[in-house]
Amino acid sequence: MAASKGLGSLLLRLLLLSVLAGGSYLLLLYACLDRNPASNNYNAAQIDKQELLAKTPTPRLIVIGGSNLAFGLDSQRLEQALGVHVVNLGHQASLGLRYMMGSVRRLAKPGDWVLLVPEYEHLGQDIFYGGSAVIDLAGYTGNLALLRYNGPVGLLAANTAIRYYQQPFTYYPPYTRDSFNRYGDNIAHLGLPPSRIASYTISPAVNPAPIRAIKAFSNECSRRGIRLLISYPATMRSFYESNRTIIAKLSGNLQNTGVTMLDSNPESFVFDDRYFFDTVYHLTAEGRALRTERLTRLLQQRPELLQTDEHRKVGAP
Amino acid sequence: MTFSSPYFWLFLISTLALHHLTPERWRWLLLLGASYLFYWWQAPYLPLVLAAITAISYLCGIGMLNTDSGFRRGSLFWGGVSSCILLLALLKYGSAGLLPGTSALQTMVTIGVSYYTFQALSYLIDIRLGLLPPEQHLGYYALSLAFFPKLLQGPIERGNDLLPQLRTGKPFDYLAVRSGLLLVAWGLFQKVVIADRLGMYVDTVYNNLHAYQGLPLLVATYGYAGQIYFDFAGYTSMAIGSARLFGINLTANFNQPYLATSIADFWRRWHISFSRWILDYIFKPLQLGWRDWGATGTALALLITFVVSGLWHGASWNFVIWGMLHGIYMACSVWYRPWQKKLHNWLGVSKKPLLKLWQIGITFQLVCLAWVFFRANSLDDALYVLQHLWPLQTEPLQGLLMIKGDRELYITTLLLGGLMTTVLFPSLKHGIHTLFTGRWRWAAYYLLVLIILVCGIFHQGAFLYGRF
Repeated sequence: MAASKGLGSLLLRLLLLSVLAGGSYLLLLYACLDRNPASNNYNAAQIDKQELLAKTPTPRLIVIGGSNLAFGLDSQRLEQALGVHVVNLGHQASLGLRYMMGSVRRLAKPGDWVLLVPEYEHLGQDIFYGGSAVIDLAGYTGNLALLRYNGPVGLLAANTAIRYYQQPFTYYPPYTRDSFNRYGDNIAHLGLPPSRIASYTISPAVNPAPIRAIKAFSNECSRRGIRLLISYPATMRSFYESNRTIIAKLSGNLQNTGVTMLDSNPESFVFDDRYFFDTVYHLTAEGRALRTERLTRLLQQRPELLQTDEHRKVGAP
Repeated sequence: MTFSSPYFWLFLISTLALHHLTPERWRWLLLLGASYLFYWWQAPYLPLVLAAITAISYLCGIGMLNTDSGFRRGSLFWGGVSSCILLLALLKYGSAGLLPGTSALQTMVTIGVSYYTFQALSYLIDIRLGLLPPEQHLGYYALSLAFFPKLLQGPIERGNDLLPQLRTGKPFDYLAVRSGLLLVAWGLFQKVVIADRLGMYVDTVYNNLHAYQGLPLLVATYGYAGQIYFDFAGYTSMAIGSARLFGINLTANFNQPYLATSIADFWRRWHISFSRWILDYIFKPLQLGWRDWGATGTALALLITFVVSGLWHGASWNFVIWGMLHGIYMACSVWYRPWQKKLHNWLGVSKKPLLKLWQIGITFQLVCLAWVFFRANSLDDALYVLQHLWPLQTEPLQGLLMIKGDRELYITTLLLGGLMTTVLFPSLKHGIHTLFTGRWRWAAYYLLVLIILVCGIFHQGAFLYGRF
């Protein structure tokens, strides 16, 4: 009896401490939020992308993922080749897979196709929950409910008020809101010289949560008449070589979701290092053209993937 | 679910509450269930591997108890040991793509497997040597391997240390639980505030080596020495603290290793449970077998022991060379030791306080030299670091600081400086300890938690030693 009383008192104190410290942290975070909806910050482009999706008529090929897609897809070319509207929601990995699927869930309609291109870190690490980008977005839109995508992990992954305190208030292309075209592609880097790229090794951790979330998202898409497809991100050859084992693990998990994969081999989207702009995921103009061509070919080789009644109505191939 | 994840904290607190509300005789079952659930969370198939190692070692142990036949005892012992080693090798090297015909294993995660397999091996060896009676209660034995605070990265516990603690129920002890929670918080601070912050610099340099030479390589190597220590020591603090909440004392794994005055001293202070394991079960039998060779036999036994230790970390030349370097250091010390005192006397430094400082400095440099091979992504990368350390150009270092922002550097330097001050001035350490136990302790807890939340880096996730 005395033991449970002592434990109860300790747990109560711990709860109070957590509420106090957690509350102070959230207050600090809130005080440091940038609330300017017209901000030219790269992350504010998500507002424009959501508007673009809302006003593009169905059927659409909605592409979701991180900056790998933002920098590495020519949506106009893809649209011309496939004869279907393409909306590139690919933007920033730290929005997290949870937000990416959640935001498209709201706006996708029956007859749409959703092409999910997660970056490998989304499948293995806590970045699945997103991080600072969602917090930025919550500030610009004033919609604090967006923070639900972060969850406790993402809120901590945002790396705190210090990060906000450090943020510069001037932004440079291609990391600006106005770097995107009317399809949602980042085009500001196309004429810029590539910079030195720091490759890295991915953490060997494998997070089961993204796989569960993708399965749930896939079931919901099936129920609502939306076709979900998955493809691999474009990566630098040297990055792929030094992460081959963990990429094999993550790609195996992705295939186990049962969602249609455009290609079963991640190597299909591995490109020579010279095709990368400033990170292992950001393609240059030439790399972007190669990736778009490869993606187009894969989609054209399997026309059944893009054949639905709604699609035939608009006369697309 | 790593120790630095909020989900783990919720899991820990819920298990603690349930543990103290459960009648004493069923607590082992609760902890066993919680441990398997925790392991399942890492990957759903991992509990099967744990159950297999548990079943093999338990049945062989019981079999050895129930037979008088020396041959049968020997067969059970060798059968158990070889099955555990085979399973470990298959999973560890198969998942790394190093065994032919094991492509199906390449998608597997093997976190924790080598730690509890080593524990199972020591259990069987201790029974064979008559140092430990076999545990007859399957539940207690299964819990001794699976106990979640030490499941993923040790400490590698011995049956004699852990099993008796699992059998005796512990009443709720407020002070023990409080000190356990403080250790968890301190470990988290070491991991997310210090280690992961250092990791940002280290990864930037080591993952793009050819862009750097000179000072940045040196700073990154020292940074890695700090990162791996705070990462692993942080994990261990959290493991020991978590176990203390349930009334279990785990083995200490670190004792200020970078203050070691020799490599042998370093291994008495670094990853202590693992060092004890390899010395007891690999070095000592080898040394005993080669005792007629005198110092040469001892040196050879040390060399082989540390090469095996390297292979345990991974089947790559980097780890083999890391282990071999430590083996060479230790082997050389076998021959050097008899001359050491004479040399100090001859130089007239044997009683000088600077001698200890010199020894600490030299030992640290030797350890860092080996860390280069441990951290580098390939053997070529490690050789590049060694070839380009000199001259100490600083220009790319300025570039590196620009990448990460000056404030990040100030925070890291300030924190590391603070920690080193507490090592140099024990009274300060005592003062901080008093702060956390005195009248204003709740204000100190609040500040510690807030510093962790504000300065911590939570997106790095995995602990470095989890992959071994």
